[in-house]
Amino acid sequence: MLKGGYTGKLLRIDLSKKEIITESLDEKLLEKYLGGRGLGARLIFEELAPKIDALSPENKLYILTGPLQGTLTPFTPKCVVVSKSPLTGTFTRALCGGHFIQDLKYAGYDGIVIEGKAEKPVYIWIDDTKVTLKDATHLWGKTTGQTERMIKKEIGDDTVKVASIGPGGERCVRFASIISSSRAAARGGCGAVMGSKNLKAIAIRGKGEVKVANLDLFKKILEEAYLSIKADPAAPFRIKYGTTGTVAIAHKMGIMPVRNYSTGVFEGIENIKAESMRERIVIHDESCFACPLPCGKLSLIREGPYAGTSLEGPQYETIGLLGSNCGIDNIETIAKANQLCNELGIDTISTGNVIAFAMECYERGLITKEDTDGIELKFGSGKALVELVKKIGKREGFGDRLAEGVKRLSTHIGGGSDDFAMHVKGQELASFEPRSIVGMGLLFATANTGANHSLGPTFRQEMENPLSPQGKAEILVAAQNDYCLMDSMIFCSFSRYGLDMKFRFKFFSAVTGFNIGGVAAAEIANRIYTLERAFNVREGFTRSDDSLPPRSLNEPIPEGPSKGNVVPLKEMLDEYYRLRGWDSESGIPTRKTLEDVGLKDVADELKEQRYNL
Amino acid sequence: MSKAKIVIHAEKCCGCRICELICSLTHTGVFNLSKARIRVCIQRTPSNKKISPFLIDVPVVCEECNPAPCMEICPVEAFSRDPQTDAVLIDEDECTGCGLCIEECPEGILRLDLDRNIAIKCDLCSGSPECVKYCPTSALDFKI
Repeated sequence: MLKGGYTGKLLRIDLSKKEIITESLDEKLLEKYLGGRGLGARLIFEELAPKIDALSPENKLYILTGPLQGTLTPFTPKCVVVSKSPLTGTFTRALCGGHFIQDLKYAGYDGIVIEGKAEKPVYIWIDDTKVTLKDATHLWGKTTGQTERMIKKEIGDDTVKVASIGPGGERCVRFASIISSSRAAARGGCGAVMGSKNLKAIAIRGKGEVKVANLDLFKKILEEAYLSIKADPAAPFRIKYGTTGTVAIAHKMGIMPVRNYSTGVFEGIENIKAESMRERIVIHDESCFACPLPCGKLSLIREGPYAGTSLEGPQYETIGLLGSNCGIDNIETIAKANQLCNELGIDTISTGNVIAFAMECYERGLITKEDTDGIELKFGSGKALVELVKKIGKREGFGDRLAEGVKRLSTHIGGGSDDFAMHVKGQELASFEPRSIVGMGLLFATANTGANHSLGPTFRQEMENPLSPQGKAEILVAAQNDYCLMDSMIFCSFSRYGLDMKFRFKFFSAVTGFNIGGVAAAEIANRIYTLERAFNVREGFTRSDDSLPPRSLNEPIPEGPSKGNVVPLKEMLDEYYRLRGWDSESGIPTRKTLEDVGLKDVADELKEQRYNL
Repeated sequence: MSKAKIVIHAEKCCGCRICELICSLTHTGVFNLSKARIRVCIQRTPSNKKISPFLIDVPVVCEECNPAPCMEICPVEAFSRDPQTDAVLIDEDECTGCGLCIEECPEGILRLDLDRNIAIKCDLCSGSPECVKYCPTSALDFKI
């Protein structure tokens, strides 16, 4: 019997059959996987046939809450979107904050599973316990902001929560995002999966309640948590600057990506630092639902060609990729490109990467104006950036090529461009120059989703010795495991301001009534991480895919604090497999490792699929 | 003049809705936003250059009017005033859920608890409002 937090129900919607079912969630499953990412990993492994096309009706989209969503537990506004990625072919998970997912809980569901493909565009309307599929033909082609406003208007309620795709998702841009009021489930192309299913949006209005198992304990630790957050010396800085507070320190360490990860120094850095952004465009601090640390920055472009544009953002990653990585040092231009990415529904990280890659190809003469629809595609050109964002979102002309991502674009262009095609398993790198912080390089190489900073960032743990490979595998395994737990209870990474893992477990116990201690938690984390890996193994991924772009491995960084460094990947990787209990040659989890974390059935299935365990 | 009230500084509100959640938890023991006595109206799509931070996230709570239209219209005299804070209170046993007070409220903040069919409103938590205590940006202030 579930005592609190969970609703115990999963909403399953088959768009092909127009079938809507409510399923019960097994309590044992929740104890083993917690919810969110863990639950998603289990469901997708069980439900997806191996090697299906990620953009076919056979793929599924899981939009999941954890036990804490809808409660007052600090830092829990996010949902997890799990699917097979059309960008990488791997397992993928994206997080989306804002004010969306609590209403799913209040409507009585822990998650939604979306399968099949609708005949024509539809949106899902969850009006508390009543769920219907609504025609979305008139919304097709609209941006995410327009879609949100039109759905609210036709329902006649401004408080309805909407998550939608833009033209990018409709046209299956491989890194299309799902957007809810400027917040994005951005990475891995979940928006393209949604578009391939002819699903334009999900609208929710929840009127019910979420219970807490141990109310007295909850109130007590809530009070403690708020004191702890207030006492955290870094909290005021983060409230003032949000994630952009990282720009200055990252650049100082040579970590900001510059001109397609070619160097560690950006001459225009002063203009894109947090202080400069706050002064020029920020007008208001914003929180996600139930979050006491308003890191969101509502911005308004006041001058220049984009004056009048408003958005929530840009954030650290976006400044890195649409900014310094494209050689852009104008915060208004970055903000405009960010706003366009949100409206068109494409990931700012992959977008910034693919444009920077194209800029380098252009500067090297591998492509010319004939390829770029006449655009002078040089680093630092804000006009080119904004034009290309639009073209990618609509898959127009050259944008159609870019919409395939760096890996496929590099294959198309050829000419040795794969040396500086900055992706792992097809997913573009995040805003961390791996040669300046090598543990983050190991994270990019091994992350189950392809390169992604949010699956166990080691940035803070590495600050003292960012270039040494020593001990990095151990730091990374711990961080990846922590994030498995955080993504499954669904705590935002900013919960580090005031809460440690023990504190997070206290909330989990008070809300659910389940007990989770150190040992059990470690096993759950290993189970989730190994299961995701098993999904990728079943798709054919091996050690050879756990790599970094040649530039990161072979080309010494020319300047900055890490001048001359490359990522010593092999030695970290060997240690990493040893710690994970995976075969060091194939990178496949051993039978013993799988059985130790309660995944015997997974070991049997991999064996059946003829993988040597 | 009423003695105590919650003062709102809308320009500081970050729209987290923590006030609504703690209110619901305090009064009902669960998280249910439709039972919160305070509400935050969120309007984050400014479309022109003149957007004011006072109008983005706006908390709304009982103004503790005096005289109070809700109290005056009530046909069963379910309303009284807290002797400590002078807050307008509703006697849940007396309230019939007729809804007249809700129609009369100039703030539009009184609402019906649909499960119990009674009107609900802020009671200032007997002089120590939880929403003020948990507001992370001091957008809510308690003035006595």
